[in-house]
Amino acid sequence: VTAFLNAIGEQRAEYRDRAAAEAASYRGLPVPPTYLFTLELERPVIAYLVNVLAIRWEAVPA
Amino acid sequence: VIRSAVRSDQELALTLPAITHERLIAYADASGDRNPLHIDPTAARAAGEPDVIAHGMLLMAYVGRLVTELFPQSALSSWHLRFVAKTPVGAQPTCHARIIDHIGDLARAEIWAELDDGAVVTRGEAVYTVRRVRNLDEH
Repeated sequence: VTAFLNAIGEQRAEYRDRAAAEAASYRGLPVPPTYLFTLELERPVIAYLVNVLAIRWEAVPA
Repeated sequence: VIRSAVRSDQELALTLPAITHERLIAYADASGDRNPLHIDPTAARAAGEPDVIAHGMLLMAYVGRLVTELFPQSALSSWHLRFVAKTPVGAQPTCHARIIDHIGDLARAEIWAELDDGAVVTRGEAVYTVRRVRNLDEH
C-alpha cells in the first residue's frame, strides 16, 4: 500500500499514520479508493472475497 | 455520517507534476499493471503512439485524491469516471471536483481531469453521504 501511496503522490497523514487516521475517525489506516482495482489485478481471489463478504478495508492485511 | 459546512458551489483543483516515465514505472510496479504501452516506449511506438501513455487508473487515483479531499473517504458512497482521451507521458494533469448539488444528506460532485493543453481526459461523478451542519441554536 505504501508503494501505491508513493506512486500516486498521496502524502496526507490519515493515509500513512495510524494515529492520524484514528483522529480522523477511521478504525485503521484507510487505503485509497482505487487501491482495490490493483488488488484485483494482483490478488483476484482476495479482492473477490473482500467484495462478496464486504470485509472492511482495514481488516485486510497489506 | 460526516458533518460538513461545505458550500454548494465549492470547487477544488489539484495540479499534478508532469507525468514522467519514472512515475509510470512506479505506478506499474505498485499496481501490478505492467502493460508495456505504459512503460516501454518501443512497444508504445509499435502500437502507434509517439511514446508511452499513462495508466488510466493513475489518472483515476489522482482524481481520487481530490474526491477524498472534497469530503473524507468515509463519506464517499460511490464514484465513477469515464475515460475520454489518452494521457501521453510529459503531460501535466489538473484534477477538478465541484459540488453540483447537496440535497438532504446526499452531496453530488462532478469530477474531471484535464491536461495542460486543455484536453479533458476523464470525467465523472462522486456521490457522498454528508450531513449538513445545522444552525447551532437548533435542538
